[in-house]
Amino acid sequence: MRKAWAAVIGLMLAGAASIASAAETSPALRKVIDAAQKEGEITLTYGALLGGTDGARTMERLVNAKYGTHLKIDYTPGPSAPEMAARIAQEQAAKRPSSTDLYPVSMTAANAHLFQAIDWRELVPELPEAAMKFGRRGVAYATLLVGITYNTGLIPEDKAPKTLKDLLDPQWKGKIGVRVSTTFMAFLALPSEMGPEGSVAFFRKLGAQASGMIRCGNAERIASGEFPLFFPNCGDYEARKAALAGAKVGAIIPTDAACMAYFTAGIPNNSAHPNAARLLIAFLLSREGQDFEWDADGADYHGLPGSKIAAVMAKYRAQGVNFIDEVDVEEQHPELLDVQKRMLEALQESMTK
Amino acid sequence: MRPRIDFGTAAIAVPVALASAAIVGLLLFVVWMSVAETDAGVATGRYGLQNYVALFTDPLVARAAINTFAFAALAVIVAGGFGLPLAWLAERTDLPGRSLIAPVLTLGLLVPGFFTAMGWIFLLHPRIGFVNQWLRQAFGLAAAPLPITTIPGMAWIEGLTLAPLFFFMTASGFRAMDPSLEEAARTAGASGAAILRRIALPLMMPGIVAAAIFTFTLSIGTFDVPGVVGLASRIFTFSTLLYVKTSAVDDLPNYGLPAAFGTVILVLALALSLVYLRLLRRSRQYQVVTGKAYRPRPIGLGRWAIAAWVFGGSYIALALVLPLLLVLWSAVLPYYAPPSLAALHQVSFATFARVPWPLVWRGLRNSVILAVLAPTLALGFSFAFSWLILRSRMRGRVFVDEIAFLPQAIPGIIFSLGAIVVALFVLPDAIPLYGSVAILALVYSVGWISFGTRVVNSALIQVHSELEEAAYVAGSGRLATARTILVPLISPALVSGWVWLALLAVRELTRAVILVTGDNVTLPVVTWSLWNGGQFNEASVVILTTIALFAPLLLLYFYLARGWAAPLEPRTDREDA
Repeated sequence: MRKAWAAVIGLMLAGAASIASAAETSPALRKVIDAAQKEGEITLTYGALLGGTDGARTMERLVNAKYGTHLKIDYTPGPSAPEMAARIAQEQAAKRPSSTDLYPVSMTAANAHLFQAIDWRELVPELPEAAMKFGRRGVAYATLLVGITYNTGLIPEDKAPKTLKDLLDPQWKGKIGVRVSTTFMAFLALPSEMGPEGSVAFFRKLGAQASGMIRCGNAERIASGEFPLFFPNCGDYEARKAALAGAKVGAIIPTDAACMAYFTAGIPNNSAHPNAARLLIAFLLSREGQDFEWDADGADYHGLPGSKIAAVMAKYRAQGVNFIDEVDVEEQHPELLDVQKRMLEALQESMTK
Repeated sequence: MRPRIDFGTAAIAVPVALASAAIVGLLLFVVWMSVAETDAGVATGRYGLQNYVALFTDPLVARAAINTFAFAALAVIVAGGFGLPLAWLAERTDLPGRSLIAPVLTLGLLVPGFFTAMGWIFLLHPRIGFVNQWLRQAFGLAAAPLPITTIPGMAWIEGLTLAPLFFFMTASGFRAMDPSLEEAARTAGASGAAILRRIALPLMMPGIVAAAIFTFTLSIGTFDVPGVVGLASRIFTFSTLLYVKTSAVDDLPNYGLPAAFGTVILVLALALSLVYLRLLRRSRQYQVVTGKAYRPRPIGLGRWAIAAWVFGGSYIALALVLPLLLVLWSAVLPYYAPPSLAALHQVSFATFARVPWPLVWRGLRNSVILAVLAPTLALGFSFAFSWLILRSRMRGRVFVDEIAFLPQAIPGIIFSLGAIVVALFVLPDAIPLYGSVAILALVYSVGWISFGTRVVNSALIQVHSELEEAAYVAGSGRLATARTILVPLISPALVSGWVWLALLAVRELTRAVILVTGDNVTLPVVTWSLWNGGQFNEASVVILTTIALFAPLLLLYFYLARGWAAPLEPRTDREDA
């Protein structure tokens, strides 16, 4: 008898939760849910982000639980972002469906109008306008604090470099791994920062100081001590993930050059399941989605309520650090991308001397 | 006495024509891409020489060129230094346990190159390599005595990984060698060294030159070792320089530069193939398999067998055991750490639970299909090419051989891009190649025609044409003669080549990664994506799984191959008695 009562109460609570959830669902979101349900699946050819295969499985479960759908996420690891962007362009030119329903958006890809412009606030009212990038063709779902990754076993926190200038100290000569590209570094060319010539000169000096080049995602080479320092990283999330797994790796935000970049997502014009993709992105921007993203990639979007990265940023800001939005800089000053190219050339030149 | 035109000739010429069209089409695509301007990956219709200007006016290119040629030349020396003696030991001597050499060499191929390179970094890096650390402490040295971060160091790793290729490209030639010449020399009082130098090696020259040219061009374009070791130590080769140059800041790839580079390599490959063709023109002198009392006899090693095993064992330890230990070590750690007592306490099998098994199984299914389909297609094409080159009197057959050599010069990325363009824009929707396993099989097989024709050429050269002429006299057609005489006689080479290509299919990454869209994902793409995403340990588990699944198949093959290759197996001492 007691069990029967418990079941009745449970059912009533579940019903109430369902009614509350339905009440929260806006007509725009309801429309997307219904259309997504008809599409039935999401094809996700993506890099290592969003937790890979495990992440896809988790997202599938969470999305279906949140929206009452029965969507299937078909995940496949994809090639590098530039190659994937080129593939999306070719598929559109050939009038074929895209091999992925959502993908990170870059400025060039957005300018080429490969992605749909969407007002994401219709689906996620709490989303700040600033989260929508590249003419609303992409939306930021995670904030990356770009800086230095270091081996915490070899370099104590108080001895680690704190600024970009510190990286040029002779004690670090031959101990720095530099990234193969200078992406996310355009902001350094702003007059308020190093300026065009100053930033190019900095990378020339950094090249002379560096021991070699590695790419992002090689945290094991920092943990092993092959490269005690790595700059510029692709965001502090990598060190956070590696440290959680037990690696002696940490991240530093340079106090003289703090920038934030983003993981963005957009829906290709030729997506085969555009509504399902919209629903997945809407989920990523929800609290549950943000918690998932923090667990999967070690990052979330700072502008959404309850953000964990916002708390990290607040700590830095309390120390006087001013974060510059790299994507905004690139959108407002496209001419700086040429300086960014010169930075890379200077880095390569000095590294081969 | 040969029939002028028959069904057999046409049947052999058709696949050659189709494959040649694909290769020439791809080459034209490379040249077009090197001069075409693109916008967001799509052609604009404008053309220019900007990629060549960028390639040749860059001061870094000259330095990279010197590094690349030094690296490739040294890698060939290392690969030949191990591969050639091992092939001779396995095929021409009575070394106890020689039948194990080939299976063990092939096992090493299942470990991706970037893992081997990482293993050598942890071993011989000037600062963190534990051998260098130990040597410095033991002898109080100021500098690392064995730094791997040099051109010779990189060439050493590359050479070790290419030695199995050298082995496979030369072993079949050794196996098919007529012993009568060696025996005649021995009767005339020649020493073992003199016989090797004056009889065996000259007879093997086409196979050796083919293997050397092949490994040289492979080394020029390779990325694994230069990418992991060179790039991290400021040593640029062509491939890493291109990688850095094409890591565009505008987030869209610049394929023009690799295409311009591919065109330059194409010219180099043509020049090298001319050297090889000069050897082929004198091919009759290498015909050692005749219809008369053919039966190769093994050379007794005596006490030298111990030295031979030390030599073979050293190679196995360096090229197979070390990388495998690294894979095993990282598979049982939650996060990669150099071997130490502290790290030993972290050993667990938790990583196995984090591996995306459904994706691994999907990749495995496709890799197995490709391992069967692609080598069969590639060797089918290659046999047809080689037959036309060496056995027909067709005009322009020299050009056919040039065409067969060229896929080697086409960068893997360009190959796949060409296939995407054809699948998306040329083929009608009724032929759904895009995103299929079939497109991978076709791209792999056409890309391997260079290798396949080198293997088949080397074997065909050694089969005297008198055997086929006898068949023609007896009324046999060309197709029937090829099927009943040539194929069985060169079956050891074909089977070795097939296994080698099957292994390449299981580890091919560059071409696959561009073409994979979902259903056609392969095992190496899964491994690479895990590594690329910082999941080094999970990638290790997938490699271990690959080895665990494919090693028994390989061993089974080698067990069965002893029977298949029986017509050309060396006679044993017991048989002689």
